[in-house]
This record gives sequence, C-alpha cells and structure tokens, in this order.
Amino acid sequence: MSPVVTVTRSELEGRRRALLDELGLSLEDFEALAETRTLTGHEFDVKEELDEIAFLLGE
Amino acid sequence: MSSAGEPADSLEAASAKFATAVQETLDGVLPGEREIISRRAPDLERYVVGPQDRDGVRLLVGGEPLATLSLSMYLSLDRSGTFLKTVRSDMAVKSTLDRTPLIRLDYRADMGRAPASHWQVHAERGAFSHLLARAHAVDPSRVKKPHDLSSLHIPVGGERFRPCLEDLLQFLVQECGVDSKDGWLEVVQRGRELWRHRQLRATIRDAQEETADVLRGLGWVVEAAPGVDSEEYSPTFVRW
Repeated sequence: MSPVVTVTRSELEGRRRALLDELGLSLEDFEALAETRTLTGHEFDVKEELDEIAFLLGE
Repeated sequence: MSSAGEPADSLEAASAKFATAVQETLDGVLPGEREIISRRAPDLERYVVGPQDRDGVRLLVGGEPLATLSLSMYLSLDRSGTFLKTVRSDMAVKSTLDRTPLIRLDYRADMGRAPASHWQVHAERGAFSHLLARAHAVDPSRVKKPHDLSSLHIPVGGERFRPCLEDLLQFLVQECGVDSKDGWLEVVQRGRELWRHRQLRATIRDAQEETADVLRGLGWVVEAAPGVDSEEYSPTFVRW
C-alpha cells in the first residue's frame, strides 16, 4: 500500500514562504503574474506546488 | 480513478488505496521507478496523491529521459460527505529541456469560467494567434492572452465523461512514442474499463429517472422505492 504522509500546517506555510521568497514575490504578485503572462517552466512548477499547499491548508 | 468509494471512517486508507492504484498503473505502463504517495492535510479530510519526487515521473524515449509527467490528484469528501472524491486533477507533460509544459490535462469540480475538464496545449500557430488577436482587439474580455495558445482550455466531456490517466498514458505511448513496458496496453485498457464503469455508476446516480426509463425500454421492471430522491443532478448534463 502506498504511504500516507501527513504534513503539518507550519511545514506547508514554511514551504510556501520559501517558494515565494525564491521568486522574490508575494502570493498576490505571483497570482497576478500568472494571470498576465505565460509562466516559465520553474514558475509553473512553483504554481503547482502553491496550489497543492493552498488546498491542503483548506484555502 | 475518480472516487476511492470508501466510507468516511477510512478516508486515509482510501487515499492510500487510490495512490496504490495510480502506482500500479504507472508501473504497468512505464519503465523506470517512481513512488506515488498520498499527502494528507494537517487538520482536514483532504489528500493530494502524486509522485514523491516533485520533478514528476520520468518519460523515456529510447531509454533517454526527454520529458516528465506531473500528477496531482486532489481528494476530498463528496457532496454526501461520505466518499472520497477527486475534486481536482492536474496532469502535465513537461520537457526536460526547460521544464515548460508541453500538454496538460486538468480537471476541477468547482471550475469557474473554464471547462471542468480540459486540455491545454503549449504550442504556437500563427493563424490561430491571428484569430485570437483580432478577437482581443474587438473586445479584450473575449480573449485575454491572444498570443498564448496554452491559455485556451479545450473542453473534453465535463465531470463525468472526461479522459482518465490511462487515456493520457496511451496518448504518450501510442502517439508520442514514449517507451513502454510489455503488456502496457492491457494495463491501460483494464484501468480505463474500471474508470468508465465508475463514471457510469456516478452518471446513473445523477439521472435515475432516465436510467429507469432506458431499463424499462429494454424489458426490465423498475420501480422507485418510497422515499427515493431521484431528482436529476443537472450540472452533469449542463456544465461544459
């Protein structure tokens, strides 16, 4: 059976901060950027992970 | 693989079972190794099933890794609060050259303006961009990114009749020439059969009166028991 890994709220929030800090953007700025232009490969990877974090945090 | 179909008191086990099914499908079709896990929310009945390696599942051509397959299946409780359901799935094939997506198959049960299930193709086509640019010039709200074909959401059947993971895998092997394992097609067909039967059962729940009519037309005797709620769930048939 595949493993189930429970992630903590602080882990998720910390990971989100790290992803955004690396880009030098706030979450709002990143979301606006995704609306206005095509994301680079790396930015697309970041968006995937940010979406997953938001879902797991119940946002 | 839409619903794990397990009672609410074993949702964690249901998510693990779902992850195992994805693992077995990928292992039966693609060479190489990967581990599919379920990530659980800290204080909610929410799970995301996908590869442990954030780079995704490696796709080989002639043994050379040329692309990856990203998978994220978002699981949460269904309308009844009883079953675990896939409320969103993101599947993206990405080039190893620049990590840019080549093609994406996404689904969101709560999708707003875009089709609930859609392909997005990351490609260029001058004549298509011309059409979109003219539409943008007439009214920018019609087309927001006229020079970005990947911003178009190509509809594919809505919630119930959408493609499954097995369809994407067969596309990759049969149309894109990705390396496969012996017996891959049987694995794909078996998984697709399960998927379509599961979707059929869900559709029957959404359209019970119509289902009963069809069965009566075929010679069955079908009567509703007292108290059956047979009201049609119209979003299945209305939403794109």
